[in-house]
Amino acid sequence: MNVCDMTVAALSALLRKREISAVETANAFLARIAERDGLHGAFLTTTADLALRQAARADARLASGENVTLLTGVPFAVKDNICVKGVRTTCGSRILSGYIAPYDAFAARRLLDGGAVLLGKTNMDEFGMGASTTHSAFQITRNPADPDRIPGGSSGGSAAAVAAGEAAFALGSDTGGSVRQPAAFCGAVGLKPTYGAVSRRGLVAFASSLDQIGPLTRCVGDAALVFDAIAGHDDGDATSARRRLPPLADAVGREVSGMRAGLPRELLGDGIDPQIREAVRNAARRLASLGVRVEETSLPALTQTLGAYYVISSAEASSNLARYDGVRYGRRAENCPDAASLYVRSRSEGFGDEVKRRILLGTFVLSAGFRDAYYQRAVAARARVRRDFDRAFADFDFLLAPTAPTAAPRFDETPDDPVRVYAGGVCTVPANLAGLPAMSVPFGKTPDGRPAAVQLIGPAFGEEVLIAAGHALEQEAKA
Amino acid sequence: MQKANNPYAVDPDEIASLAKLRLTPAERERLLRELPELIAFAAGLDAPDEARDAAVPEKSALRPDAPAADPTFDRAIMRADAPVLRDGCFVVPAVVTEDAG
Repeated sequence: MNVCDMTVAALSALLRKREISAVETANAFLARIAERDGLHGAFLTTTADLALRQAARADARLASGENVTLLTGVPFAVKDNICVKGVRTTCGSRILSGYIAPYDAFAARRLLDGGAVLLGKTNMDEFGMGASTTHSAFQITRNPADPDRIPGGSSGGSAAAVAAGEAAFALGSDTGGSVRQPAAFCGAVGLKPTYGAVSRRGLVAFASSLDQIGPLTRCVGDAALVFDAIAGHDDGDATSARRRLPPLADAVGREVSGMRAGLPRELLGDGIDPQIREAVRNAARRLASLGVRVEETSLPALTQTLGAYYVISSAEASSNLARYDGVRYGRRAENCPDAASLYVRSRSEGFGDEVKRRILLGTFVLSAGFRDAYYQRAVAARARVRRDFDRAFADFDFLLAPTAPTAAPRFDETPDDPVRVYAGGVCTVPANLAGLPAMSVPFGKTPDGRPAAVQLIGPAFGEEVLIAAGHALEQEAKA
Repeated sequence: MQKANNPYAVDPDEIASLAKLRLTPAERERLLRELPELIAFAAGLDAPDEARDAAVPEKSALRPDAPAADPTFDRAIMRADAPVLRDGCFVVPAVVTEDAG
């Protein structure tokens, strides 16, 4: 098997046994990128020279046996809204097209300190706003499973890189589904951790109460390995949890018999494609065959999540993106006679349509006379969502649901209407609103051959349950 | 504008001004069409109810008011991406112009 198609665990074993060097591995992935990324468009920036220097240092560690981790020598990619020092970080936006990150994000630093090898930065919807990666200012990304289909978004580049064997694993960010949905569309595993489990330091902010960095991998076991490397408290992030999590890798292969799984009926209604609903029902049957008690349940507040999500995320985005004014970094409009016109022109020239739409919506819902009607209602709805989940987890160990209402559409099927696009987040945004961990796991294909997936949602800091159940489902899908 | 077409009384120019954005005519027309639909999407949220919506108790996320363990960034690093620098300072056009009242 080509090293580019191996899991992280298998590749790591070869590296630690010195059956292959980190430099050979890096060169293999760089050759794969050169061969395939012209079609897929997963990468915005490749860091070949840096990767080979890092790989040489990894080889020295592997030879000496000192400071060797499970990720030493393993090549990875990072979504382009996660800072890596000295590397261009654009967030998929013209307004940051020349921005060079001055520091490493905490999660990236953890991986680099462990000896992982950075291949480059991946394409994304601008500032994380989108579900197709077609809102990047620079290029589209094609789904490796079918290049006429979208990879999903906003972490579409990271999902495509992993699915195409252009990276052994990747980091993405998830504010309303942006790790899980592209993972589902491309046939990868995508994990959104509990809010606070992974530091947001160095993740360019979209919606600060919702954003989380998460891994995209080829298998559930790899997601556990990468999570273990990047999770943990960071004093540099005021929302970073102080809770010490046990190694997720220990949950791989754990017995699932006796677990209780709930199927929220609000996420299995008419808006879900019948092929996807059948995939979820099939997953439920397989879990039941393993001794999991599966029952339908109801979380009524889930009917309000889309409205709450778009109000809260847009409000926070309008505030977070106010920093892009052409003064300290980023694109600066020329020949501006005064500061006001500098700000307006830099922003108007630098932001794309979707970002402007969200900033304007967020500005509106926070403006005088409308804040109570929209923002306060959204905050109240969010509290109700959290309470419904808390009640559900008194009866269930995890919930099983679709990741997205459909499998990956074709580029020419993607709706123009923003309301229809936003409705595609109905299955993923609840976990973001409630701050809960959630993971998308590939589960077969649709009858027309597209990757299908199911989503598991767990209680806060319940990633172990997701790994155990997700691994069990993954083995059933292979059977 | 007709209330029937704009039931939420969205004034795109006012919102754009608050957001420090300038809309092209095409963007303004699109916004007049899309914003009311997006707002309607959000308008279906239930009104807050004190009895039902008592805040979920949360621990404060604030850290102690003490200098961070990590050193602050060197000024040279933070200025490295500046579009325009003069004498080590970020350059901004005049905030107050002669026309200001």
